[in-house]
Amino acid sequence: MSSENTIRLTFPANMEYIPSVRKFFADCITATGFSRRFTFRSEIVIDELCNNAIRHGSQAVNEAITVYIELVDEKTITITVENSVAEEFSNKDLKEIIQSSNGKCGRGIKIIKILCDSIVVNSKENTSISVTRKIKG
Amino acid sequence: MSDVKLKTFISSHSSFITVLKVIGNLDAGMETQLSKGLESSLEIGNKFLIVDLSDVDFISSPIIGTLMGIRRRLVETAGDLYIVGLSAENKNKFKLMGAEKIFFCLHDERSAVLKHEWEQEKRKDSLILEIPSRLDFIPCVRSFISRVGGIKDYTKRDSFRLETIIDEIGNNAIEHCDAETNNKIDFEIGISKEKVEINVTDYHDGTITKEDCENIKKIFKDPAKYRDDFKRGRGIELVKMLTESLDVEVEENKTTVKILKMKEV
Repeated sequence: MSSENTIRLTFPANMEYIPSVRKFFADCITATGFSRRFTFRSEIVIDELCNNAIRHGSQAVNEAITVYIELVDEKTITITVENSVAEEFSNKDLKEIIQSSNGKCGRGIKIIKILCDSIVVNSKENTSISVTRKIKG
Repeated sequence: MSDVKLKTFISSHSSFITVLKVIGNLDAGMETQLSKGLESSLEIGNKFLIVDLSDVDFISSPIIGTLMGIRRRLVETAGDLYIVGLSAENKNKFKLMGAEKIFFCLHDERSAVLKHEWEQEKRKDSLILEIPSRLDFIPCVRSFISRVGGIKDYTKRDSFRLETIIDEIGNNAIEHCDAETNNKIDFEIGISKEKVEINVTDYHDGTITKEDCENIKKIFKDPAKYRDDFKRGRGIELVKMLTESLDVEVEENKTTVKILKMKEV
């Protein structure tokens, strides 16, 4: 990921930070020239991804979450949220949860699927979920 | 009356904290059962208690009174009682009764442990931020720092001062970095109950001379002396006034400004 178009923030895995984090990234996306609507929808995605990372990631007290946003071009951004993997979730589990369209699928994931053009899950030492959002048209 | 189960255990995050998990509805008339559960939780000997209400749909008003009574006792012995897992409806009930001003109502057990560590002044939260070296991102960073100050109970004045510091040092970092070769600025923020430590790093191409290093250090040591007639150089002077300490470390390929600001009492 090139640093010239990437904004990265690592923060403690504590729910109290999420409103400030999503607002920070929304401000950055707006500053880059994206519309308010695109920004607001990106903020929703960041909120859902961060909530999931904190809720379902490692429950260690010193756990941290990292959010990257890559400003790919004038019409595209990539949002990545990374956290330590919780024991009960494997990479396969996560992919199944995301791909599943039945009752197992949480509302947050459904919202992300509606608002994003692609979702990529990687899980080795850490779990990372990358989503791409593009301006339509 | 509905059946309520009470489970007591030591928090997996801290041996100093006992958790009382309640399962079922806390109707009126169940105060005695809850009181007994709370008493047996306290017998473990910890002064800090988390009451987990994530599996409780209904809480009657007298139950909130019982919780208040136990909290008062714990506070008198320098302990505390944290409430976690309130549903939206129960949260509203706490709000209507003014109880959300008395208790720390938190999301889950981990949040309560983090709050406990914060209140006991044992905890420093670390945030690491990397932005492209573009001036239009600085307002975003300074607003973010201000919001973090707000959620950590820093006064509005303190939060605004943090904003000012980030604005001045962030703008300087962008102005003086080598945008051609290293297009990023790093912010490392450590915030605790009593102080904020901020390190701002910009990168250059490695051509900085020993003389340049000495000049930068001199400016940070005595900014008033080096302020020119064109109103430039006031930023460092301003930051120096707003902080307890301001240092600079100049290396071959990077400059780090280190700031320490104590919380306003």
